[in-house]
Amino acid sequence: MSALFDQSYQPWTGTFQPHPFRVLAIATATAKNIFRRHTLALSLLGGLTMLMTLPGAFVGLMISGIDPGYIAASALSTSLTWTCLLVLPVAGSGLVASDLKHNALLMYFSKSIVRADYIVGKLAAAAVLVLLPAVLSPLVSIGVSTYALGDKATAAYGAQLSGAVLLSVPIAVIPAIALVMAFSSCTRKTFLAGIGFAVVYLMLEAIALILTDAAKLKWGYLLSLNRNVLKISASLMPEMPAGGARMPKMPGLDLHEMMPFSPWISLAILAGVSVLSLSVVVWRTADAERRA
Amino acid sequence: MSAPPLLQVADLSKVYGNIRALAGVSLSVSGRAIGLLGPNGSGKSTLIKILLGLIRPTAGTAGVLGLDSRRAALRIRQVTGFMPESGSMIPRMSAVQYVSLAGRLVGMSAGDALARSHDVLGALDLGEARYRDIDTYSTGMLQRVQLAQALVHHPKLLFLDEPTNGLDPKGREEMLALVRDISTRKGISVVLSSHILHDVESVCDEVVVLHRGRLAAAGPLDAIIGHAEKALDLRFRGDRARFQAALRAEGLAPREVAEADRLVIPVEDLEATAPVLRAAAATGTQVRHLAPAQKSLEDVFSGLIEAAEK
Repeated sequence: MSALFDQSYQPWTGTFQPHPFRVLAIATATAKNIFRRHTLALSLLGGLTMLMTLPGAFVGLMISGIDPGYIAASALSTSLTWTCLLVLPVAGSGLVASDLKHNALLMYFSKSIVRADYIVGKLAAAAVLVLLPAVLSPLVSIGVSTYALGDKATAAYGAQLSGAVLLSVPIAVIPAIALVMAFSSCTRKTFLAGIGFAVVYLMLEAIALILTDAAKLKWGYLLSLNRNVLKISASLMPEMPAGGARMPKMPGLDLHEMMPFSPWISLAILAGVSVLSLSVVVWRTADAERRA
Repeated sequence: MSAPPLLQVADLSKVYGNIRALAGVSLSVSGRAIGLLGPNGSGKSTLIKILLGLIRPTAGTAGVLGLDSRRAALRIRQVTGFMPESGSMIPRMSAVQYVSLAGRLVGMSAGDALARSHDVLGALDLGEARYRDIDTYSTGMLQRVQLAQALVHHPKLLFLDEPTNGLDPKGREEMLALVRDISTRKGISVVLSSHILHDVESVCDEVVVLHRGRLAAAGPLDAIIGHAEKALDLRFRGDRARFQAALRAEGLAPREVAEADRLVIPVEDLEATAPVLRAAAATGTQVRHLAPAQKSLEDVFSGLIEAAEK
């Protein structure tokens, strides 16, 4: 056995990098690892998510004159639904569960990082994988619908809508990833975490739908991830310019009227979900580390 | 100015619920290779985790290389390496990627970590296997990867928690040879936690013995073995029962061992062999070998544990 008797072994004498690089290392290593493990599933499901959203864009193209803001809102909602149901369970279910199953937590925490670094790194890794399918299809829909209207004022409006969508998607994605991480930290079986998250997400959306549409309780939308994000997104979206509009209003589809409370309430709810979910991750990882 | 002790612990206690994992442990040790010895559940892993700043003690203080484990935990983990007991891994990651990630988590740049992971894995004899996913590795290979991830940044001190766990005898000896080499030739001090006495005896020059969360003994290995009971190792040919009776008549208390032609005789003075020779002459027994008994750490450990339990 040659082992360390090999004289080529030399001590390392380099310098250490600043702390944020360690978070970046966790994020990149985790994202690469997840993509490597689920290349086919993530490609197919990400593609499917984008496909599911595109019919809305074609409606905008065919029914000339619909406010691109409504197309954007519809595409954002559809994209979030499919991202949460298809992509996130695959990309996020193993974030912590896999480390629990293979005792990797002790490797992480015996290095020069704190628990927050680990959690932020894992969250960022999932965000990298989820953001593309979540954001691309609403942007394509906005592009198609503003192109259909075909004037300069509407094009500028489309750019502002795109900005609103780009801001809204991370607001939606972070609590969703935090929630799937919480599920992931409660089991060593990744598929259970994925299924658990998808079921809870669907249940909340269904309850919100029933409360608002059937029971006519306006606060019901506050239970839905999609609708809270839509509320925030709608408050970020500008009004359609009068000069660029051929049909500036869609009767009966006023998002602000459907969701009457302040967008800050929605933001607070999403922040609360994130904090609560990440607290579960902190507690579970600390417990697992203690038992290791 | 003298170098700070490798490990310094004062009145350290750790309680989990109603389980006392450590109870008022105080020690200060320096050395090339320190053995942390004790049966399962004696508090070894808890002590290592407190030293690394992974868990907070209920009471007392702990320091590594002069750094306080509460205030400077991240710095401690930069200057130390830790090889955990359980085989930890990230599936679908090659050994190079895994060790490189470990280097980056300590603060190495991506380039340094990658280059260094190749160096260390090569030095640990993993050859081309370093490019394979680690979930396809044997236990022995996985243990080497664990060692590599702890060594990647060339720490000043290496904590090894049961490094020979699950290895076959050949793999065990190879791992111990690696650890010996690290501590003697590479300038890295080693703390080897184990319940296997042979492992500690073959690598370490200092020993800390824990039992039920308490310190049973600490100090240089030679001194601890030296403090053990003095005895003569006797090999003979003749009637065993008659010889034993004659030895007792001389005021000795011979102890039988597994071999029929051998006795161990506790004595006050290892030079005082005259009573043994008189008993042999009286019974016509042929003495074939008479020398101070070589005490193994196992003998000492049993004695220390018995004493601690009393």
